[in-house]
Amino acid sequence: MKYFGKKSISSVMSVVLRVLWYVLLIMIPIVIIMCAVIVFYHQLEARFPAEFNPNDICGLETKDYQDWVMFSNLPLAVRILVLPYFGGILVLLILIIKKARLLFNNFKNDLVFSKNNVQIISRMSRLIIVFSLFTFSLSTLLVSVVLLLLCEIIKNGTVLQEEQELTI
Amino acid sequence: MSIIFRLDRVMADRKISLGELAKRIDLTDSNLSILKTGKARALRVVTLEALCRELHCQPGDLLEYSADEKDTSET
Repeated sequence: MKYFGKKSISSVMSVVLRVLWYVLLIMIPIVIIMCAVIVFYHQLEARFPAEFNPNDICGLETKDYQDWVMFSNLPLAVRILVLPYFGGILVLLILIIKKARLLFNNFKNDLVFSKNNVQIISRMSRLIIVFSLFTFSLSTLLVSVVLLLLCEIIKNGTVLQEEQELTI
Repeated sequence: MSIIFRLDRVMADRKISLGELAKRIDLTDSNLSILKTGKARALRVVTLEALCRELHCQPGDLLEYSADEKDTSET
């Protein structure tokens, strides 16, 4: 099984990430509309009373419905504060996927030990650290630490490859 | 770097082109060019041996040590 180059796992990952990238681009306006609907729920409900009953539309379970009622009863200012949080998560996700796309494109082109990859992985790990802090996820934090280690390995590998290439 | 490659001078003396020398010592043109311009980080003994054989010279003719400013200040 090939890991780098054409017709390898990296090329498959590159295609998957490209598809994911376009799906995300399509999802962004939908998410923005959904966030607006959720935040301005009461204002919209007053205009279209029949259409915004979550119990009818979404078929929410009791606990989710209770959460929804609690959220929708919050003041508008508090509900608006939720938007930057989800927006931040979305932006971070987009940036991480963009960096991963660049990385797997390089892997697909057989560029493994390069300074460019070191930079990409280092930035990606920093983004994942922020993402893990945003989502309170310990496993994501561990992934970012592993990525930082990988970054150091690739940095050392780049030096060794350069030495090897310049040994005549 | 304080080691200077004198390959260009020896090649000019022997009137041999880069391509021809590269072919004779079984090296690519680009690698020999790296060596000639002094960008090489290390030199294999087999390469040095092949160069000396084809250019009919000693390793000392190809390499020269010159103490740079940093080395001079330390001593």
